[in-house]
Amino acid sequence: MQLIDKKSQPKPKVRNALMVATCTVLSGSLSSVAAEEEENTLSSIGLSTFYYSEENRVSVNTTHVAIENDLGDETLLRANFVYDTITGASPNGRIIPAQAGDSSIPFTSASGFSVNVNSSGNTGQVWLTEFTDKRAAIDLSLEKSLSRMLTGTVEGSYSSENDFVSYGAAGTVAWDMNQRNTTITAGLAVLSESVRPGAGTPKGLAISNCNDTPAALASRPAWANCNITSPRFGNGSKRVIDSVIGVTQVLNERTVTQLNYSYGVSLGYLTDPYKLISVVDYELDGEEVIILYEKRPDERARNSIYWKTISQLSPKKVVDFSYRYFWDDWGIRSHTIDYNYRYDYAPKNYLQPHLRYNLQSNADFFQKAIDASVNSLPEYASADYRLGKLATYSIGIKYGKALGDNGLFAMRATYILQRYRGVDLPDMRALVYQGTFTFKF
Amino acid sequence: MRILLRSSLLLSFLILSGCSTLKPGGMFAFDKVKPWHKALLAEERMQLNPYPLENSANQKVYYSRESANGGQGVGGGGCGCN
Repeated sequence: MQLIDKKSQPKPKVRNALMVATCTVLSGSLSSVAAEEEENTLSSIGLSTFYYSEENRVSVNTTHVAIENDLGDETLLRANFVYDTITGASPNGRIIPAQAGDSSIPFTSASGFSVNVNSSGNTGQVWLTEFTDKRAAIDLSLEKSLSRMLTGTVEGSYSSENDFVSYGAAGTVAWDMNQRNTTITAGLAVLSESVRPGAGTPKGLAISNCNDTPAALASRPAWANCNITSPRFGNGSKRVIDSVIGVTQVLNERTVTQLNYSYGVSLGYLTDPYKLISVVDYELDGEEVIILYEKRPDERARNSIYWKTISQLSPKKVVDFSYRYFWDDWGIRSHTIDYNYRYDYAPKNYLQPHLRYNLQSNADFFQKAIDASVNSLPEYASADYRLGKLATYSIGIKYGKALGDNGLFAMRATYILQRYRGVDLPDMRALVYQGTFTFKF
Repeated sequence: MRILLRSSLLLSFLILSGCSTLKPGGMFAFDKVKPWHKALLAEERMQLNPYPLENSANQKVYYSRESANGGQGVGGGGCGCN
C-alpha cells in the first residue's frame, strides 16, 4: 500500500510512481483500466478477523485468509478460506404475542441438530428461533492474460454448513480498449446448492403444530386439516445462475467509473425450511391459532444495475460512491447507496468514514400473518422479514496504517440499524468489528 | 416517496461534495488519459475493489439481512444465512 502525499513523499516513491506508469505502458495490467498493483509484486496474504453482533439476536465470528500468488506469465492465483461460527436467535416469521412470555404453542423444529426453539436465553420469545451453525468455505480463482487486451478469470467455490452445501463455478472476461481507458467485462456463474434440514424439508404451508394445544386449534379454519400429517421431504436443491455485463471507464487521471447490469435466475427449492407464518384469528384479538411453514415460488429472476465511481479529490482524499437498483419478479425493489471517504491524514495513516443506506419494498407474497377466516390459503406466503419492507442504515469508521513497505493493517467498526414496515418486529441493531492485515511478498 | 426524495437529496449532496474541490466539471470531467498519466489510478486505494476482505464481509452481512444482492460481479460461494 502506498499512501500518496506529494508534500511529504520521499523521492524514491515518486520514482516508484513513474515506474508504475511505465510498467502500465509496457506491459499493461491484469485487470483492466488501472494497473492492479504498484511495483512489481502481486503476491500477498491477507488475514481478517470479523465479529458481527446483533442486539439480542445473531452473532457471527469469521476468520478469513486470502492468498494471492503471482505465478508469472501474467497469471494470478487467488485462494480464499473462510470459517464462520454463528450463534443466536433469528426471527422465524411468527407474530410476536401480545403479552411477553406467551409460549403456549411450541414449535416442532424443522432442523436436526442445528435448531432449537424456545431454549434457554429467549424463553417465551416464540418469534425467535435459536440456532448455532458453522460454515467453512473455500474459493479458488485463476486470472490470466489471454492476449494483450483480454483477461480471463475462472473460479471454483465450495461452502458447507451443518445443513447447507454449495458448489459454484464462475468465469469472467475483461476486454481492454481505448488505450486501456475502457474495459468491457462479462461474467457468468453457476451455483448448485442444497439445504439439508435434519428432519427433511417441510411441505410448504403445511401446519407445523397439528398435535399441539387442541383448544387453540378448535377454531381452525376448514382448510386446516390436522388429520393429515405434515409430510417431510428430502433435501431442498436449487440452481442459481448469475450473469453480469459491465463497462469500466477512466474518466480522467483521478477518476474511474463502472456501470454493471446483472441478471440472475434461481430455480428449485427457494423456501426457507425454518421460517414459519402465523395464522391469526382477528376475532380473538389477533391471537395466533395455527402455525404454518412458509412457501415461496420455485423460480426467481433478479436484475440489478450497479454504478460505482471512485475519485481522488486531492492527494489525501479519495471518495468512492456506489448506487445499486435491484428488482426481481417477486416484486422486490431495492435502492442501495454506499459511500466511503478516505482521508490520509498522515503518511501511511488514514481514516475512512463509511455510510450505507438500503431501502427495500416487500415481496408480493409477503404477509406478516394469515387471516384464519380465509376460505383458502394463498399459493405462496412468507413472513420472513427479509422479504418485507425495510430500511437499513449503516455508519462506520475505519483506521488504516501501512506497516513498512509491504504491510497494511486496518480496523473498522460499523453500526447497523434495520427498521421494518408492515412487520411487527423491533428494530434490529448490530455492530460490526473487523481487523485486517495484508502482507505483500 | 418522502424516502426517495431524501435519498435523492443525499445522493446529490454526496456527489456535489465530491465535486466541490475539483476543476469545473468535477470528478466527472472526461479526459482521454494517456498511459503515462495513470500513476494515481494505479494506486491500490483507487481500485474498484480496494479492500476485498472488508467487501467480502460486508456482502455477506447484507446478503443475509436484505433481499437484494449482487451487482459488483459474479462468483463467490453460497450461504444458507439465517
